[in-house]
Amino acid sequence: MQDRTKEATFLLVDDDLISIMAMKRALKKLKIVNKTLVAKDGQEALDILQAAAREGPSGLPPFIVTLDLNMPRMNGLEFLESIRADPALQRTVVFVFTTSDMPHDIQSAYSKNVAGYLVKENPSETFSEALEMLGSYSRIVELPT
Amino acid sequence: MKRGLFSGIVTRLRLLLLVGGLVTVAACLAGFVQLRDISSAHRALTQGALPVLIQTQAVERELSNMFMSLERATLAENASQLSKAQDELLLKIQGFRDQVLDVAEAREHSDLTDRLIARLDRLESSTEELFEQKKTLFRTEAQLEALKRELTGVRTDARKALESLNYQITVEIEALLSQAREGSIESVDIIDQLFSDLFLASLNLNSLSMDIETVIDLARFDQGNETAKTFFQLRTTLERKLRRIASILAQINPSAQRTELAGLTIRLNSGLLGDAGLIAIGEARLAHKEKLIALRQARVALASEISQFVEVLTEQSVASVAEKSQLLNTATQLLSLVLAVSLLLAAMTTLVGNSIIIEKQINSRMGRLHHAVREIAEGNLDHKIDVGGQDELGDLARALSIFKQNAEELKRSNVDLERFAYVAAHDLRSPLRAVYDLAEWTLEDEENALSTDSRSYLEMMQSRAKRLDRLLTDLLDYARAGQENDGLADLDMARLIDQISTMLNPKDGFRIKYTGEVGEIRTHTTPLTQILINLISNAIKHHDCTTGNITVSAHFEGDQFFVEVADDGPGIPQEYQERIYQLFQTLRPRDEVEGSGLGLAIIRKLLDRYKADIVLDSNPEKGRGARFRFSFPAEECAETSQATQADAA
Repeated sequence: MQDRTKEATFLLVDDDLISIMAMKRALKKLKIVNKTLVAKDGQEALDILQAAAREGPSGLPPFIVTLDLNMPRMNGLEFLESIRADPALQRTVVFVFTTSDMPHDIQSAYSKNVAGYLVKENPSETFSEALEMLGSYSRIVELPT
Repeated sequence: MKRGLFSGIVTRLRLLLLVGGLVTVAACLAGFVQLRDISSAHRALTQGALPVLIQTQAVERELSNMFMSLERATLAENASQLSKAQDELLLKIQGFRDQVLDVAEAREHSDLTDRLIARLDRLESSTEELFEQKKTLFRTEAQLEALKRELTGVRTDARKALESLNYQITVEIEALLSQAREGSIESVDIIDQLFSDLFLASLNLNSLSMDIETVIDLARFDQGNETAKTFFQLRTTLERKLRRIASILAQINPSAQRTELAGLTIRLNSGLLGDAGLIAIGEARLAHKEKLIALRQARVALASEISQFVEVLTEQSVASVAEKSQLLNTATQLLSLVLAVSLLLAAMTTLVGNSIIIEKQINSRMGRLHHAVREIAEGNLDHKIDVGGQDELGDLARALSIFKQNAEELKRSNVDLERFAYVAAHDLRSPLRAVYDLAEWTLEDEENALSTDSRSYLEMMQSRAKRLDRLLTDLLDYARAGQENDGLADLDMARLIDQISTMLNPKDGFRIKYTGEVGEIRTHTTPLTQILINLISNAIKHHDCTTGNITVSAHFEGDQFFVEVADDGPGIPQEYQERIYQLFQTLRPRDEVEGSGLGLAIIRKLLDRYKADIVLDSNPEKGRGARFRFSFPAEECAETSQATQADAA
């Protein structure tokens, strides 16, 4: 089984540097050592995923994406639409991680098959808790390649 | 606003009424004119033509009466009959003249009646002449009768004289015969002479007798068919006969008889041939008769002329009646036509007015306007207002368009405002979190290197960041309040208060309890929960003691659902009780009591959406505590309320 599974890579998509720092800090605090990539907007994240899918020996390696919604160039919902439309990327696990708790946003995100929708309510605490949950999820569930 | 003369609806309706009224008035006027025509035609017929006709017929009747009288007068055989007939005739003529004068009066002395009267005058005068002639004739006939009687007397006398003469001669002959037989007379010659004398005398006597008879027979001529020629021949014959009688008389021996006979002959002569003799009178009678015939012929001509005039008069009267009847007919037909046209015009006015003014210009536009008003009132601002025109409805439509624009603008600006508040609050939170995080990380990483002051500054920074975050959260809540359509769901009040209590997690010493009898209800759960959270957290936050009781109760009053949240805190002074619902209004500094000043404003906004109300009952001067009471749309769930009652029992 060990051969057939592979540890997931984190892809943090957020245009706010401090958010990225907070997430990385939380990951570090939780002793999560998975490979972590950063994208400043949806387009960059899409590029990274497509490149990984092309270079990977058997398609896209497992990715866990934390996605902000409000971003320049390509926002979170547009990014979700793009990966769900691409057969190579459509199985990517995405957690929406945003300050927006508008019901409309939440509904749109869930309609595009997100694994979870997390509101950054109390900046660092929620974040840590959420990431803790995320980390265990990534450790426990070995994503099939 | 400037407007056309006929653009107002009322003006148009008045115009319609005016047109209808004018049509009616015109119809009435035309009808009256026709009625007057009919009336005058009727009058002309009944008071003019018909009476004239009747009078004319009376004239005809009188005419025939008159002719009958005339006929009777003509046939009168003696003077007394004649005088009676004359009186009657004069009466009839007078009656006829009166009738004709009546007709002339009625016909205003037409040429015809004037001529008729003239003829009548002539008839009257000719009749008078006729009577004169007739009287003369009667007189003549009487003379004739007298003369005839005279002649008869003459004949009788003559016969007697002749008979006596004859007798003498016969006696002489007898004497002679006896003398002869006795032979007293010897001479035959003498006897013969005597005999022949006597015989001759006897012959003469016979001849005389015959002549006289003949003359008298001739004189007794048959009356009636004599002519002037007859009279001439008769006169000649009589003269000849009388001359012979005279010569015979001359041959007769003079005797008394001869003298008598001579006298008779003279009487005969004068009675027959004298100036007042039979012949003269007969001739006069003939002349009278001829004159009478001529008069009668003239009268017949005159009568036929009069008859013709009367006939013409009758014809004219009948024609006049026919003409007047025709006029009456025409006027009646015209009236029918006028009435029909009026009816048609009135119907057309009504139809056209109804379809153009009432239906097209008012009713359908009003309907559209009404529809548009209702649509807009229901919030459908996209509804088009397709009513134009330069009248009140057009003005209303334009005003409605302006209202619609205002409403659209208001809606848009509200949407913009809420969007702005939302985006601002949202976008402000990210950097705020970053500030908080950075302070946190500094505190974590440089735990030992920081001075106590620096540490406290960083903590204060974090606390203000938290306050700002809460403010933004509340602002977001306010912006969002009443925006989402929240469906109906079942909710248990006791459980809800329990959950809120757990969530708010008040300090020890604070107790939150539900005392209402209402159990499960069906309502808009999210806004109700929000309202209760805000009220309860306010009660805890603003409490001035370390311990406190917050009591929530709920009940139905009829169909209406009421919730009360009461606390035993310091209460709210009456002068501030209106201000507390305004945005960002707090009664205490933020450093003492954390609060955005939006909690009650959010409640008010949510309740406004359901047209519900909230009432505060608090008076710190009299006692502690504050009690908020608000209504909310909800329905009691029937089965569960029974179940709750059962549980309570």
